[in-house]
Amino acid sequence: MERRTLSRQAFLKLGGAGLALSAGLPFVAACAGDSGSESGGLTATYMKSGTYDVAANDFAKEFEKKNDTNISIEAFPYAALRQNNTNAVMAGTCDYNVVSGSYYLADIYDSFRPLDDLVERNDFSKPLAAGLWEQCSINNGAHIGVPYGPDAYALMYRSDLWEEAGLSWPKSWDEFLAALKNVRAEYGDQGITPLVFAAGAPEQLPALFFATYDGYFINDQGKYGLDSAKATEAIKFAEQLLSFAPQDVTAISIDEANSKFVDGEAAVLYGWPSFLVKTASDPDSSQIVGKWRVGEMPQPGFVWLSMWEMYTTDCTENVNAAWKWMTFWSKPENDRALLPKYGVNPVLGSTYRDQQLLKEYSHYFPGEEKNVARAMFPPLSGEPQDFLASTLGDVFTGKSTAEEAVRSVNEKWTEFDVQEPLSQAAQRNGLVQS
Amino acid sequence: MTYERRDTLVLVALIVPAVAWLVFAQGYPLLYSLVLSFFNWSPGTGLGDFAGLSNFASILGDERFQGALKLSVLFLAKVPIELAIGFALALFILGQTAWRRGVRTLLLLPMLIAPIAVGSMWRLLLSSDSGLVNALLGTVGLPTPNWIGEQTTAVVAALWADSWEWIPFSIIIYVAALSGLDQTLLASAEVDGASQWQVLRYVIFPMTLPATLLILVFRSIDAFITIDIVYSLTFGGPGFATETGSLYIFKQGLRYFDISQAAAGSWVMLGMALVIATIVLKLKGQADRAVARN
Repeated sequence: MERRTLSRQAFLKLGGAGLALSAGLPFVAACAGDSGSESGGLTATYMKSGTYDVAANDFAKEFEKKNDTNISIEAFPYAALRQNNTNAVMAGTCDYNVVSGSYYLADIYDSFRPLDDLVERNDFSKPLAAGLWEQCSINNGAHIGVPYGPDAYALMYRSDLWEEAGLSWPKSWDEFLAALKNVRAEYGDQGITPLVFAAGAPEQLPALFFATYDGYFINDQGKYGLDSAKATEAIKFAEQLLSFAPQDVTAISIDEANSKFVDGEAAVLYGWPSFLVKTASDPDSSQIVGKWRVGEMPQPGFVWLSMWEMYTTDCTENVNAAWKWMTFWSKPENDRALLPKYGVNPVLGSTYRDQQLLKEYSHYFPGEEKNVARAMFPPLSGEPQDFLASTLGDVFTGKSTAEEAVRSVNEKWTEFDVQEPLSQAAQRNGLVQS
Repeated sequence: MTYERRDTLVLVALIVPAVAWLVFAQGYPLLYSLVLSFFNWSPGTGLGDFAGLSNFASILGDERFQGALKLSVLFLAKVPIELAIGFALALFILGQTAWRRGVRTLLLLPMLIAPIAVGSMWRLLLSSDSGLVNALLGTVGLPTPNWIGEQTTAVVAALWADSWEWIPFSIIIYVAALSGLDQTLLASAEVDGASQWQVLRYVIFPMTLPATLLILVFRSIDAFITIDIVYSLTFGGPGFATETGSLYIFKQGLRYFDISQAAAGSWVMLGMALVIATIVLKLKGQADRAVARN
C-alpha cells in the first residue's frame, strides 16, 4: 500500500470528528422526540388559524390561574393537525391529552375516552345550542367529543342590494335561482357578480352538491352510495349555480372568494360564515359593514356542518383536568367572548340569544343559529369524500357530466367500508337508504 | 506519523457508527414499507393480515392511480425542454465578465426556493383575476386563460412551475461542462471552417453529452416523483387533472391512512423510477466511453 504522510494531530482531529458525529446523531434524534406530556400538565392541539389557536392560548393563561394545571397549546395548520393528532394516537406516544378534530378522525375514535359519565355528572349537554349535541361524535354508543366552533355552510348575501332590488330571502332553491337572475339583471353592469364560491379549493366542491341533495349517503347494502336521480339533479343544479359565478370560479380560493364578497364585488358568497365574520365586520378593510347577512339555507338540501370537537386520549391520566379544560371554553363568559374577540362561533344557546350580542350580530346570529340547528356531518370518511370532490371538479371543468359523475362515484364508493361510528351517525340523521 | 493500514481501520471504525445510523434511518423505513405493502395495515390492528399481492393488484387496477401515473410520466416529457433551455442559457451566460456572473447568480435563484413555496408563488402569479401573468398578457392583447381552473392549463401551469424551479440545475451543470471543454478542439473546428452551428452540433453537443445525461438522470427521477409543486399549486385539481402518482400515494397513506396501499404504490413507482434510471445510466455509460475514446 502507498504510504501517505498524516500528522498525529491531523489524525486525532479526523478521528475525533468522526467519533463526535457518530455519537451526536443518535443523541440529536432522541432529543427531537421530546414531547409536551413530559411537562406534567396537559397538552392540547388546535388548528393554527388566528382564531381557535389564539382563543386557546388566551384561555390557557386564564385556566392555569384558576386551576392547578399547566396547559400547553400546540397549534398546527389543518393538514398537519390532522396528521399529528393521528400519528400521536397511533404511535401511542401520548403527546397530546386533548385533541381537536372531527368526524374524519373516525379511524382513531377507539383511542378517545368516552365522556358520558362526565357529561351526565356536569349536565353538560343541556345548555348547548339546538342540534349540536346530537351531531357530536359517538363511538360504541358513548359520546367522545366536546363541541366548539360550530359552523354551517351558508349563503351570505348583500342585504342592501336585496332590499334595493325588492327581493325577499328565498325559501326554496328555485326561488334562489330566480333571485340570482334578478341580481344579475340589476347589478351585473356594476361589476357585481351574483354569486361567488371557492370552486378552486377542491375540498369545498361537495358544498355545491350538498346544497340541493336531500338523498341518502349509505345504501341499503350498508355501503356508501348516492340516490342516482337526486344526485344527478343536485349536480346539474350546482352547474346552474356556478353559471352565476365569475368565469374563473374554478380557480377561486377560499380567501379570494371571501375577499370578493368583502370588497363588495359579489352579491352572494356561498361559504363558511365564521371564516368571514371578523373581516366583513371590520370597517378598516370591509366595504360591506352593515350591508350583509347570513341567510337561512333554502330547502331542500343537506346543510354541511363543520364542528370542531375536543377529544381526550385514553392514555391521559389527569382526566378531570382534561375535562375541566375542554368545558372551560363553554363557560358562559368564555362562550360569549368567542365571536367578538376571536371570530369563533359559540356553542351555548344562551349566547345566541344574548341581547347585546344579538344587537351587534343581528345580521349573523339568527341565520347562523338556524343553519347550525339543521346542519349535519356528511357520513363520509376521507377517501369517499375526496373522490366525490374530485369527480365534481371534473364535472365543473367540463371533463365529465352529472350522470357520469354519479355513476363513477357510486361505483367507486362500493370499494370503501363504512366505519361503524359514521354508519350510526348516518342512521341517526336519516342518511341511510330505507 | 505515517498513514498505514491500521490507521485506515481505525478511521473506518470511527465512521461506521454514523454510516450505520444513516443506513438504519433510510434502509429500515424502506424495508418496512415493503413489508407493509404485503399486509393490511390499519390504525386499529397495526400490521394486520397477510395480503399477498392484493395491495399491488388493487392499486394497479385503480383507474385513479393509473391516471396519476400517466401524469407522472408526462412530467418526464418536460425534461428535454428543460435541458434545451438550460443549455441555451448556459451558453449565453458562459464567461467571466461581471454582468455574466451577475446574470448567472440571478438565474440560479429559483433553485434556492422551496418547491412548496414555488407552487404557492405561481398560484398567485397565475391567478386569472389578480395574477401578474394574466395582467401582462392582457396588456399586450393576448388571451388570459384560467390557468389553474381548467384541466389542460392547470397541467401546463404545473409543468411550467416545476421547470421554472429546476432549469437552473441544468444551467449549473452545463456551465461547468462548457467551461471544461477542450478549447483546442473548438479552435481546430473553427480553423477547419466549421460554422457556429456545426461547431455546436459536431463538437459541443457530443462533448457535453455526459453532462446532458447526468442532468437527465437526476431530473427524470425528480420529475417523475413530483409532489410538492402540485400540492401547493392545485392540490391535484381541478378534478383529478394534476394528481401525480406521488400525490395520490401521499393522499392514500397520510390522508386516508391506507398505509399498505400507499406502500404498494410507492414500490410500484420505485420500480418505474429504477427502470428510468437504469436506461439513462446505461446511455450515460456509453456516452462517457465515447467521449473518453475521442
